[in-house]
Amino acid sequence: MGFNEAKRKLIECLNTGYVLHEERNDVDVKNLLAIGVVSLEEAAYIIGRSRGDGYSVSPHHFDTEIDVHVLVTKFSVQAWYVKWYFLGPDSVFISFHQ
Amino acid sequence: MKILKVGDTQRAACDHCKAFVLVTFKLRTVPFSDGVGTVKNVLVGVCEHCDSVVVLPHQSTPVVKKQMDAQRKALESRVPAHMVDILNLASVELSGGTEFVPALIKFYIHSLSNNEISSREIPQYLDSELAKGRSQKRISIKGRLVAEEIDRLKDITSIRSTTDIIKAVVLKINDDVLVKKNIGMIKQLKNIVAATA
Repeated sequence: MGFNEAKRKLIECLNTGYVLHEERNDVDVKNLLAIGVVSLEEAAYIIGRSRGDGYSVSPHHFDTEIDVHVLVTKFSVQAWYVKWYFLGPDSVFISFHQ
Repeated sequence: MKILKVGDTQRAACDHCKAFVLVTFKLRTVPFSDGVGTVKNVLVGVCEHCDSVVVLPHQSTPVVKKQMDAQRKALESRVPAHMVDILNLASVELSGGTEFVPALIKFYIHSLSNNEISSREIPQYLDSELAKGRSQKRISIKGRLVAEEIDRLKDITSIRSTTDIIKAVVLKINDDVLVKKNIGMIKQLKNIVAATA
């Protein structure tokens, strides 16, 4: 899956609310989407404006068949770091922070 | 919006088990990752093997935000007008300008609550003439540790009211920076001003 397909699928998940946030026995306060500082609409807008130059992908450590996507993008003078993978119909966010 | 119910199951990555595992959605009280506060009774995905919380469905986000905002809201106190003047003067004395005032108060609250500055004299400030006067101005302090540190300071000083704590802290700043001109403290505060300028 390339950047364009990953971006399209992620925006679809954000628009339909098929979103989960990975946690490590606590609520990650740096994940601004998980704590409601950034809304699904804002997240979709930020992702929608991104280009492929800050995108990379690598296999998940626990299951190499699952791709982990990383996107570093600038929006409104802020740099955003977004890390996620797809699991069935859901996008699972590992990070969504500035 | 995908809506999950208590008892629903699905697959998710568990950092403790280092594997994708079956999780069951349950209501749990979960701490925030920075150690400040908890989210009570929130729907999360729990690992069937190790019982760790491994996933938060987005439907739980409003509950997380509401409880986080409530636990970290700004502390506001009404104080006599001259207290704000003291803070402004002290900040200017430290070359910080009035924008340094919130950091100055938070520095004192933090240091007093952690016994880095002695809080022994703090209750006495409330008996002074400068503690009196109609409360006509507002001091607002925001920070994720402030509420917890003020509670600790209340325990240490046996002062029950948040406003009285703020007043006493302001008068301690007055004493250190404007009256006694404590060289060590002023040097320390000027370093903070320089670091945050």
